[in-house]
Amino acid sequence: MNIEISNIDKAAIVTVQGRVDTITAPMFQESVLELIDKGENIIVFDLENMEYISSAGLSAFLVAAKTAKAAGGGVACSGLQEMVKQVFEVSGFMAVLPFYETKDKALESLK
Amino acid sequence: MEVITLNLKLEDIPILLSEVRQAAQNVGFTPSRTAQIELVVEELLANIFKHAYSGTGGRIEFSCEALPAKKQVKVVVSDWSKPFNIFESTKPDLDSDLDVRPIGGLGVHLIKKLTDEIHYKRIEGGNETVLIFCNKD
Repeated sequence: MNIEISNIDKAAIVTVQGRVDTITAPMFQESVLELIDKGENIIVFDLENMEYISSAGLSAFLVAAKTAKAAGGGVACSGLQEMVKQVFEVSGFMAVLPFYETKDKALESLK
Repeated sequence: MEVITLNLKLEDIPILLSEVRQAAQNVGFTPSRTAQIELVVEELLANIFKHAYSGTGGRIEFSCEALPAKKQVKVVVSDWSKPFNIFESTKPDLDSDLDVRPIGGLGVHLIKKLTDEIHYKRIEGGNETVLIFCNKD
């Protein structure tokens, strides 16, 4: 898993590449919580290149979304691959995390 | 069919999943379904590591078999810990709002939702779980 962080229009763009699984999810969660801790609580997760997620990854996304909201911000996701979308769907995440087809639409939703 | 016996650690999981991926590819599963099958096996192994063996690891037997004639992949995992029947787990909360949605508890749900057949039996001092995935395409 690789994570890249950039900033556009006061939002942090977190681009995730590879697998967010039992091994890598704690690192993902730590990176995002550090970001929120620094005041970057408006976050777009660009998931176009995230090819796999397990329940450990789902928990990390939920923690990130709850923490960002509690800090007065919010999160949105964009670009789901088929497997990831199916896992989000069967886990009931489509109702708690906003998903958009593109990064631009996700960004727009947080303005 | 090769049975792998090992003292399960988290870092073993990707190695075992590569066996699963190879078997799924041999039976012609799509990349997306192959990833789902890996996910199910990861959840089972992580559950054994974290809950059955309390995060300290313990002995498992693992086998993964491609059955091209049946277009199936069969995975068998045995552990030697307290009884853990996957069918007895409670359904997670999939509906509540973000503020109150509990964190965790989705692993067994994913196993149940994404596996075609699950067989569980209590063996002497342990558990045996059989997962079967069918390629219906």
